[in-house]
Amino acid sequence: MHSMTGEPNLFENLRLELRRGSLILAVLAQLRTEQYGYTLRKALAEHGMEIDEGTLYPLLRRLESQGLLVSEWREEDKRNKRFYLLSAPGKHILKQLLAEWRSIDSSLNGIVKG
Amino acid sequence: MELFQRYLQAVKFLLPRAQQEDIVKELSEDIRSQTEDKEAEAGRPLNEIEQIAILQQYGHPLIVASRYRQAPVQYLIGPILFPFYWFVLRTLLLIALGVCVLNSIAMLTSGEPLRQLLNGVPALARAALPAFGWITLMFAMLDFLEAKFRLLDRLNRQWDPRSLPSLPKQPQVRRSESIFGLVAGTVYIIWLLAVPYYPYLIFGPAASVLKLTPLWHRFYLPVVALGLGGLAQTAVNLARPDWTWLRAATHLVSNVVALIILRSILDKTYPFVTAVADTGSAGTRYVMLAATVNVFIALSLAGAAIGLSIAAVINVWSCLRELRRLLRGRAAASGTS
Repeated sequence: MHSMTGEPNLFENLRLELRRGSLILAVLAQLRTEQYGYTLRKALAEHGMEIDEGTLYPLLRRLESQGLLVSEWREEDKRNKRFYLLSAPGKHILKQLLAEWRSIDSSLNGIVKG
Repeated sequence: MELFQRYLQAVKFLLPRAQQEDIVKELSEDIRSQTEDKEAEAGRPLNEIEQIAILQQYGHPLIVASRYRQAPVQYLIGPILFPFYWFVLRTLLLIALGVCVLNSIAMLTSGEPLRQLLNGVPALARAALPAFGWITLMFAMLDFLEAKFRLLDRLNRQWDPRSLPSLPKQPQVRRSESIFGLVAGTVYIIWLLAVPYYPYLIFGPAASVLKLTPLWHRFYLPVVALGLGGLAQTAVNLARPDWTWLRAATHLVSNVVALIILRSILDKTYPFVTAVADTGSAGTRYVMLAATVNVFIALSLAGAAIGLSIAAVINVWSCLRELRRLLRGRAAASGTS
Protein backbone atom coordinates (compact mmCIF):
# COMPACT_ATOMS: atom_id res chain seq x y z
CA MET A 1 0.00 0.00 0.00
CA HIS A 2 1.35 3.39 -0.94
CA SER A 3 0.14 6.73 0.23
CA MET A 4 -1.57 8.79 -2.46
CA THR A 5 -0.52 12.14 -0.98
CA GLY A 6 2.98 12.21 -2.48
CA GLU A 7 1.90 11.30 -6.01
CA PRO A 8 1.45 14.74 -7.61
CA ASN A 9 5.01 15.65 -6.57
CA LEU A 10 6.30 12.29 -7.66
CA PHE A 11 4.67 12.70 -11.05
CA GLU A 12 6.06 16.23 -11.39
CA ASN A 13 9.60 15.01 -10.55
CA LEU A 14 9.40 12.13 -12.99
CA ARG A 15 7.94 14.39 -15.67
CA LEU A 16 10.81 16.85 -15.24
CA GLU A 17 13.32 14.01 -15.40
CA LEU A 18 11.70 12.71 -18.58
CA ARG A 19 11.64 16.17 -20.18
CA ARG A 20 15.22 17.08 -19.25
CA GLY A 21 16.87 15.12 -22.03
CA SER A 22 14.19 16.02 -24.56
CA LEU A 23 14.66 19.73 -23.83
CA ILE A 24 18.30 19.57 -24.86
CA LEU A 25 17.25 17.94 -28.08
CA ALA A 26 14.57 20.57 -28.67
CA VAL A 27 16.93 23.47 -27.97
CA LEU A 28 19.65 22.09 -30.23
CA ALA A 29 17.14 21.44 -33.03
CA GLN A 30 15.57 24.87 -32.67
CA LEU A 31 18.97 26.55 -32.84
CA ARG A 32 19.69 25.27 -36.32
CA THR A 33 18.55 28.81 -37.08
CA GLU A 34 20.05 31.66 -35.06
CA GLN A 35 17.94 33.06 -32.24
CA TYR A 36 18.29 34.94 -28.99
CA GLY A 37 16.98 33.63 -25.68
CA TYR A 38 13.59 35.24 -25.57
CA THR A 39 12.57 34.33 -29.15
CA LEU A 40 13.96 30.82 -28.66
CA ARG A 41 11.78 30.34 -25.60
CA LYS A 42 8.73 31.61 -27.48
CA ALA A 43 9.46 29.35 -30.44
CA LEU A 44 9.80 26.32 -28.20
CA ALA A 45 6.55 27.21 -26.40
CA GLU A 46 4.73 27.48 -29.73
CA HIS A 47 5.79 23.90 -30.42
CA GLY A 48 4.48 22.78 -27.02
CA MET A 49 7.91 22.62 -25.34
CA GLU A 50 7.55 25.28 -22.66
CA ILE A 51 10.74 25.99 -20.77
CA ASP A 52 11.20 28.54 -18.02
CA GLU A 53 13.88 31.20 -18.11
CA GLY A 54 15.67 29.77 -15.10
CA THR A 55 16.23 26.52 -16.98
CA LEU A 56 16.83 27.83 -20.49
CA TYR A 57 19.65 30.32 -19.92
CA PRO A 58 21.86 28.08 -17.76
CA LEU A 59 21.24 25.29 -20.31
CA LEU A 60 22.32 27.55 -23.19
CA ARG A 61 25.52 28.42 -21.30
CA ARG A 62 26.26 24.79 -20.60
CA LEU A 63 25.72 23.77 -24.22
CA GLU A 64 27.92 26.63 -25.33
CA SER A 65 30.69 25.66 -22.88
CA GLN A 66 30.47 22.13 -24.29
CA GLY A 67 31.05 23.54 -27.76
CA LEU A 68 27.63 22.62 -29.12
CA LEU A 69 26.49 26.22 -29.53
CA VAL A 70 28.16 29.47 -30.48
CA SER A 71 26.91 32.85 -29.37
CA GLU A 72 27.53 36.51 -30.03
CA TRP A 73 26.23 39.80 -28.68
CA ARG A 74 24.71 41.84 -31.48
CA GLU A 75 22.54 44.91 -31.74
CA GLU A 76 18.96 44.41 -32.91
CA ASP A 77 16.20 47.00 -32.66
CA LYS A 78 18.73 49.30 -30.96
CA ARG A 79 19.24 46.71 -28.19
CA ASN A 80 22.09 44.37 -27.46
CA LYS A 81 21.02 40.73 -27.60
CA ARG A 82 22.89 37.50 -27.35
CA PHE A 83 22.26 35.29 -30.36
CA TYR A 84 22.84 31.54 -30.26
CA LEU A 85 23.45 29.15 -33.13
CA LEU A 86 24.19 25.44 -33.41
CA SER A 87 27.92 24.90 -33.98
CA ALA A 88 29.45 22.33 -36.37
CA PRO A 89 30.10 19.80 -33.52
CA GLY A 90 26.59 20.64 -32.29
CA LYS A 91 25.12 19.62 -35.65
CA HIS A 92 26.98 16.33 -35.50
CA ILE A 93 25.84 15.61 -31.96
CA LEU A 94 22.26 16.61 -32.79
CA LYS A 95 22.23 14.10 -35.63
CA GLN A 96 23.44 11.34 -33.30
CA LEU A 97 21.02 12.33 -30.56
CA LEU A 98 18.07 12.37 -32.95
CA ALA A 99 18.95 8.87 -34.14
CA GLU A 100 19.17 7.75 -30.52
CA TRP A 101 15.89 9.41 -29.68
CA ARG A 102 14.14 7.69 -32.60
CA SER A 103 15.55 4.38 -31.47
CA ILE A 104 14.36 4.96 -27.89
CA ASP A 105 10.96 6.06 -29.19
CA SER A 106 10.62 2.94 -31.31
CA SER A 107 11.76 0.65 -28.46
CA LEU A 108 9.40 2.30 -26.02
CA ASN A 109 6.50 2.00 -28.44
CA GLY A 110 7.26 -1.69 -28.78
CA ILE A 111 7.43 -2.14 -25.00
CA VAL A 112 4.29 -0.14 -24.30
CA LYS A 113 2.27 -1.95 -26.95
CA GLY A 114 3.61 -5.14 -25.38
CA MET B 1 11.48 49.16 -13.37
CA GLU B 2 13.30 49.78 -10.11
CA LEU B 3 12.03 46.40 -8.93
CA PHE B 4 13.72 44.71 -11.89
CA GLN B 5 16.99 46.50 -11.14
CA ARG B 6 16.83 45.36 -7.52
CA TYR B 7 16.17 41.82 -8.67
CA LEU B 8 19.11 41.81 -11.08
CA GLN B 9 21.36 43.26 -8.39
CA ALA B 10 20.37 40.45 -6.00
CA VAL B 11 21.00 37.77 -8.62
CA LYS B 12 24.33 39.33 -9.63
CA PHE B 13 25.62 39.18 -6.06
CA LEU B 14 25.14 35.41 -6.05
CA LEU B 15 26.65 34.63 -9.45
CA PRO B 16 30.19 33.41 -10.20
CA ARG B 17 32.26 36.61 -10.47
CA ALA B 18 33.63 35.93 -13.95
CA GLN B 19 30.15 35.57 -15.46
CA GLN B 20 28.24 38.16 -13.46
CA GLU B 21 28.05 40.91 -16.10
CA ASP B 22 27.27 38.60 -18.98
CA ILE B 23 24.51 36.68 -17.23
CA VAL B 24 22.87 39.77 -15.77
CA LYS B 25 22.94 41.49 -19.18
CA GLU B 26 21.18 38.53 -20.77
CA LEU B 27 18.66 38.21 -17.93
CA SER B 28 17.97 41.92 -18.13
CA GLU B 29 17.36 41.65 -21.87
CA ASP B 30 14.96 38.73 -21.34
CA ILE B 31 12.99 40.58 -18.66
CA ARG B 32 12.82 43.65 -20.88
CA SER B 33 11.60 41.66 -23.90
CA GLN B 34 8.97 39.95 -21.81
CA THR B 35 7.83 43.24 -20.28
CA GLU B 36 7.55 44.86 -23.70
CA ASP B 37 5.45 41.98 -25.01
CA LYS B 38 3.10 42.18 -22.04
CA GLU B 39 2.88 45.97 -22.29
CA ALA B 40 2.04 45.69 -25.98
CA GLU B 41 -0.73 43.21 -25.12
CA ALA B 42 -2.16 45.40 -22.36
CA GLY B 43 -1.58 48.69 -24.22
CA ARG B 44 -0.14 50.33 -21.07
CA PRO B 45 2.92 50.11 -18.81
CA LEU B 46 2.91 47.18 -16.37
CA ASN B 47 1.87 47.92 -12.82
CA GLU B 48 3.77 46.67 -9.77
CA ILE B 49 1.68 43.51 -9.35
CA GLU B 50 2.35 42.51 -12.96
CA GLN B 51 6.06 43.18 -12.51
CA ILE B 52 6.06 41.03 -9.38
CA ALA B 53 4.35 38.24 -11.35
CA ILE B 54 7.17 38.31 -13.93
CA LEU B 55 9.86 38.10 -11.27
CA GLN B 56 8.04 35.31 -9.42
CA GLN B 57 8.05 33.40 -12.69
CA TYR B 58 11.87 33.72 -12.79
CA GLY B 59 12.14 32.61 -9.17
CA HIS B 60 14.05 33.59 -6.06
CA PRO B 61 17.52 35.05 -6.78
CA LEU B 62 19.11 32.17 -4.85
CA ILE B 63 17.46 29.59 -7.10
CA VAL B 64 18.17 31.49 -10.30
CA ALA B 65 21.85 31.98 -9.42
CA SER B 66 22.27 28.36 -8.29
CA ARG B 67 21.29 27.14 -11.76
CA TYR B 68 24.29 28.91 -13.27
CA ARG B 69 26.71 27.09 -11.00
CA GLN B 70 27.95 24.32 -13.22
CA ALA B 71 29.03 20.80 -12.35
CA PRO B 72 30.82 19.30 -10.55
CA VAL B 73 28.35 19.68 -7.74
CA GLN B 74 30.20 20.48 -4.51
CA TYR B 75 29.72 18.12 -1.59
CA LEU B 76 31.35 18.12 1.79
CA ILE B 77 30.70 14.38 1.99
CA GLY B 78 29.52 12.86 -1.27
CA PRO B 79 26.97 10.10 -1.84
CA ILE B 80 29.65 7.37 -1.92
CA LEU B 81 30.97 7.94 1.58
CA PHE B 82 27.80 9.32 3.13
CA PRO B 83 26.31 5.91 4.16
CA PHE B 84 29.55 5.05 6.04
CA TYR B 85 29.65 8.49 7.61
CA TRP B 86 26.05 8.17 8.74
CA PHE B 87 26.69 4.67 10.11
CA VAL B 88 29.69 5.84 12.20
CA LEU B 89 27.76 8.83 13.56
CA ARG B 90 24.74 6.73 14.49
CA THR B 91 26.90 4.07 16.14
CA LEU B 92 28.75 6.62 18.25
CA LEU B 93 25.51 8.31 19.19
CA LEU B 94 23.99 5.00 20.29
CA ILE B 95 27.06 4.10 22.37
CA ALA B 96 27.02 7.55 24.00
CA LEU B 97 23.31 7.16 24.73
CA GLY B 98 23.87 3.69 26.20
CA VAL B 99 26.59 4.99 28.51
CA CYS B 100 24.37 7.93 29.45
CA VAL B 101 21.44 5.62 30.30
CA LEU B 102 23.64 3.36 32.43
CA ASN B 103 25.12 6.37 34.17
CA SER B 104 21.63 7.71 34.83
CA ILE B 105 20.52 4.37 36.28
CA ALA B 106 23.61 4.30 38.50
CA MET B 107 22.98 7.89 39.66
CA LEU B 108 19.29 7.32 40.32
CA THR B 109 19.90 4.16 42.32
CA SER B 110 22.55 5.92 44.38
CA GLY B 111 20.02 8.57 45.34
CA GLU B 112 21.45 11.50 43.34
CA PRO B 113 18.89 14.29 42.76
CA LEU B 114 17.25 14.57 39.35
CA ARG B 115 18.91 17.97 38.83
CA GLN B 116 22.30 16.30 38.97
CA LEU B 117 21.09 13.83 36.39
CA LEU B 118 19.99 16.60 34.02
CA ASN B 119 23.47 18.13 34.20
CA GLY B 120 24.60 15.09 32.27
CA VAL B 121 22.74 16.23 29.12
CA PRO B 122 24.89 19.33 28.38
CA ALA B 123 27.95 17.27 29.33
CA LEU B 124 26.97 14.71 26.71
CA ALA B 125 26.47 17.47 24.12
CA ARG B 126 29.87 18.99 24.97
CA ALA B 127 31.53 15.63 24.42
CA ALA B 128 29.48 14.70 21.33
CA LEU B 129 29.87 17.92 19.33
CA PRO B 130 33.69 17.84 18.97
CA ALA B 131 33.46 14.11 18.13
CA PHE B 132 30.86 14.94 15.48
CA GLY B 133 33.15 17.68 14.13
CA TRP B 134 36.23 15.45 13.94
CA ILE B 135 34.36 12.61 12.26
CA THR B 136 32.86 15.02 9.72
CA LEU B 137 36.29 16.51 9.02
CA MET B 138 37.82 13.05 8.62
CA PHE B 139 35.15 11.95 6.15
CA ALA B 140 35.34 15.27 4.26
CA MET B 141 39.09 14.70 3.83
CA LEU B 142 38.51 11.11 2.71
CA ASP B 143 35.95 12.34 0.21
CA PHE B 144 38.36 14.96 -1.10
CA LEU B 145 41.09 12.32 -1.51
CA GLU B 146 38.67 9.93 -3.16
CA ALA B 147 37.66 12.59 -5.69
CA LYS B 148 41.24 13.74 -6.31
CA PHE B 149 42.89 10.34 -6.75
CA ARG B 150 39.83 8.48 -8.04
CA LEU B 151 40.26 5.85 -5.33
CA LEU B 152 36.91 4.26 -6.05
CA ASP B 153 37.75 3.76 -9.73
CA ARG B 154 40.96 1.99 -8.73
CA LEU B 155 39.05 -0.13 -6.26
CA ASN B 156 36.52 -0.98 -8.93
CA ARG B 157 39.24 -2.12 -11.34
CA GLN B 158 40.70 -4.51 -8.76
CA TRP B 159 37.37 -5.69 -7.41
CA ASP B 160 36.59 -9.40 -7.50
CA PRO B 161 32.94 -10.35 -6.82
CA ARG B 162 34.17 -13.46 -4.97
CA SER B 163 35.45 -11.16 -2.23
CA LEU B 164 31.85 -10.23 -1.32
CA PRO B 165 30.87 -11.14 2.26
CA SER B 166 28.77 -14.26 2.63
CA LEU B 167 25.06 -13.94 3.34
CA PRO B 168 24.17 -13.55 7.03
CA LYS B 169 22.54 -16.56 8.63
CA GLN B 170 19.18 -16.06 10.24
CA PRO B 171 20.21 -15.32 13.86
CA GLN B 172 19.07 -17.98 16.29
CA VAL B 173 19.71 -18.92 19.89
CA ARG B 174 21.66 -22.17 19.67
CA ARG B 175 19.78 -25.20 20.94
CA SER B 176 22.84 -26.36 22.90
CA GLU B 177 22.99 -22.95 24.61
CA SER B 178 19.31 -23.19 25.62
CA ILE B 179 19.66 -26.76 26.91
CA PHE B 180 22.76 -25.87 28.91
CA GLY B 181 21.02 -22.73 30.25
CA LEU B 182 18.00 -24.77 31.23
CA VAL B 183 20.03 -27.41 33.09
CA ALA B 184 22.39 -24.92 34.75
CA GLY B 185 19.49 -22.59 35.60
CA THR B 186 17.47 -25.42 37.18
CA VAL B 187 20.45 -26.53 39.29
CA TYR B 188 21.03 -22.91 40.32
CA ILE B 189 17.39 -22.39 41.34
CA ILE B 190 17.33 -25.65 43.33
CA TRP B 191 20.57 -24.63 45.03
CA LEU B 192 19.18 -21.15 45.74
CA LEU B 193 15.96 -22.57 47.22
CA ALA B 194 17.87 -25.08 49.32
CA VAL B 195 20.47 -22.64 50.72
CA PRO B 196 18.26 -21.28 53.58
CA TYR B 197 17.69 -24.83 54.83
CA TYR B 198 21.14 -26.23 54.16
CA PRO B 199 23.80 -23.55 54.89
CA TYR B 200 26.39 -26.23 54.07
CA LEU B 201 25.59 -25.55 50.41
CA ILE B 202 27.09 -22.07 50.71
CA PHE B 203 29.65 -22.35 53.49
CA GLY B 204 30.74 -25.93 53.10
CA PRO B 205 32.41 -27.28 56.25
CA ALA B 206 32.35 -23.74 57.74
CA ALA B 207 28.54 -23.89 57.93
CA SER B 208 28.73 -24.95 61.55
CA VAL B 209 30.59 -21.76 62.52
CA LEU B 210 29.31 -19.13 59.99
CA LYS B 211 25.83 -17.94 59.10
CA LEU B 212 24.35 -15.36 56.72
CA THR B 213 23.24 -12.03 58.21
CA PRO B 214 19.59 -10.81 57.84
CA LEU B 215 20.84 -8.50 55.03
CA TRP B 216 20.40 -11.35 52.58
CA HIS B 217 16.70 -11.78 53.34
CA ARG B 218 15.95 -8.47 51.61
CA PHE B 219 17.59 -9.58 48.38
CA TYR B 220 16.76 -13.25 48.43
CA LEU B 221 13.42 -13.05 46.59
CA PRO B 222 14.65 -10.63 43.85
CA VAL B 223 17.63 -12.95 43.24
CA VAL B 224 15.32 -15.98 42.99
CA ALA B 225 13.03 -14.02 40.66
CA LEU B 226 16.01 -13.14 38.44
CA GLY B 227 17.02 -16.80 38.28
CA LEU B 228 13.48 -17.86 37.39
CA GLY B 229 13.30 -15.14 34.72
CA GLY B 230 16.50 -16.43 33.12
CA LEU B 231 15.20 -19.99 33.30
CA ALA B 232 11.93 -18.98 31.61
CA GLN B 233 13.88 -17.21 28.86
CA THR B 234 16.01 -20.27 28.07
CA ALA B 235 12.88 -22.47 28.07
CA VAL B 236 11.09 -20.14 25.64
CA ASN B 237 14.20 -19.89 23.44
CA LEU B 238 14.44 -23.66 23.31
CA ALA B 239 10.98 -23.67 21.70
CA ARG B 240 11.48 -20.43 19.73
CA PRO B 241 15.20 -20.13 18.89
CA ASP B 242 14.43 -17.28 16.45
CA TRP B 243 13.34 -15.01 19.32
CA THR B 244 16.84 -13.65 19.83
CA TRP B 245 15.35 -10.36 21.04
CA LEU B 246 14.01 -12.16 24.13
CA ARG B 247 17.53 -13.27 25.13
CA ALA B 248 18.93 -9.76 24.62
CA ALA B 249 16.08 -8.10 26.54
CA THR B 250 16.18 -10.62 29.43
CA HIS B 251 19.94 -10.29 29.76
CA LEU B 252 19.70 -6.50 29.83
CA VAL B 253 16.89 -6.45 32.41
CA SER B 254 18.76 -9.04 34.54
CA ASN B 255 21.94 -6.95 34.32
CA VAL B 256 20.22 -3.76 35.37
CA VAL B 257 18.26 -5.38 38.23
CA ALA B 258 21.41 -7.18 39.44
CA LEU B 259 23.34 -3.90 39.35
CA ILE B 260 20.63 -2.18 41.37
CA ILE B 261 20.72 -5.01 43.93
CA LEU B 262 24.53 -4.92 44.11
CA ARG B 263 24.50 -1.15 44.44
CA SER B 264 22.23 -1.29 47.47
CA ILE B 265 24.23 -4.16 49.01
CA LEU B 266 27.58 -2.43 48.55
CA ASP B 267 26.21 0.95 49.65
CA LYS B 268 25.78 -0.29 53.20
CA THR B 269 28.67 -1.74 55.11
CA TYR B 270 26.72 -4.59 56.57
CA PRO B 271 28.58 -7.73 57.45
CA PHE B 272 27.50 -10.39 54.99
CA VAL B 273 28.20 -13.27 57.35
CA THR B 274 28.73 -13.57 61.07
CA ALA B 275 30.18 -16.21 63.31
CA VAL B 276 27.65 -18.49 64.98
CA ALA B 277 27.41 -17.62 68.70
CA ASP B 278 28.46 -20.04 71.33
CA THR B 279 31.36 -21.44 69.46
CA GLY B 280 33.33 -21.95 72.64
CA SER B 281 37.03 -21.21 72.96
CA ALA B 282 37.51 -20.99 69.21
CA GLY B 283 35.04 -18.07 69.03
CA THR B 284 37.65 -15.36 68.33
CA ARG B 285 39.10 -17.41 65.50
CA TYR B 286 35.65 -17.76 63.92
CA VAL B 287 34.96 -14.03 64.23
CA MET B 288 38.19 -13.41 62.32
CA LEU B 289 37.18 -16.02 59.76
CA ALA B 290 33.83 -14.23 59.32
CA ALA B 291 35.66 -10.88 58.83
CA THR B 292 37.89 -12.45 56.14
CA VAL B 293 34.91 -13.98 54.39
CA ASN B 294 33.16 -10.58 54.52
CA VAL B 295 36.09 -8.89 52.79
CA PHE B 296 36.22 -11.66 50.22
CA ILE B 297 32.47 -11.33 49.50
CA ALA B 298 32.72 -7.52 49.27
CA LEU B 299 35.58 -7.79 46.75
CA SER B 300 33.75 -10.48 44.77
CA LEU B 301 30.60 -8.35 44.62
CA ALA B 302 32.59 -5.29 43.50
CA GLY B 303 34.19 -7.41 40.75
CA ALA B 304 30.75 -8.71 39.78
CA ALA B 305 29.45 -5.13 39.58
CA ILE B 306 32.23 -4.19 37.14
CA GLY B 307 31.57 -7.29 35.05
CA LEU B 308 27.82 -6.63 35.05
CA SER B 309 28.36 -3.01 33.97
CA ILE B 310 30.41 -4.14 30.97
CA ALA B 311 27.83 -6.81 30.17
CA ALA B 312 25.07 -4.19 30.44
CA VAL B 313 26.77 -1.99 27.80
CA ILE B 314 27.12 -5.02 25.51
CA ASN B 315 23.49 -5.95 26.11
CA VAL B 316 22.28 -2.41 25.39
CA TRP B 317 24.05 -2.75 22.07
CA SER B 318 22.48 -6.18 21.45
CA CYS B 319 19.02 -4.83 22.29
CA LEU B 320 19.44 -1.90 19.90
CA ARG B 321 20.57 -4.31 17.20
CA GLU B 322 17.56 -6.53 17.83
CA LEU B 323 15.26 -3.51 17.80
CA ARG B 324 16.71 -2.37 14.48
CA ARG B 325 16.27 -5.87 13.04
CA LEU B 326 12.69 -5.94 14.28
CA LEU B 327 11.89 -2.52 12.77
CA ARG B 328 13.52 -3.46 9.48
CA GLY B 329 11.54 -6.69 9.38
CA ARG B 330 8.33 -4.79 9.96
CA ALA B 331 9.19 -2.19 7.32
CA ALA B 332 9.99 -4.95 4.82
CA ALA B 333 6.74 -6.73 5.69
CA SER B 334 4.67 -3.56 5.27
CA GLY B 335 6.52 -2.79 2.03
CA THR B 336 5.51 -6.12 0.52
CA SER B 337 1.92 -6.01 1.76
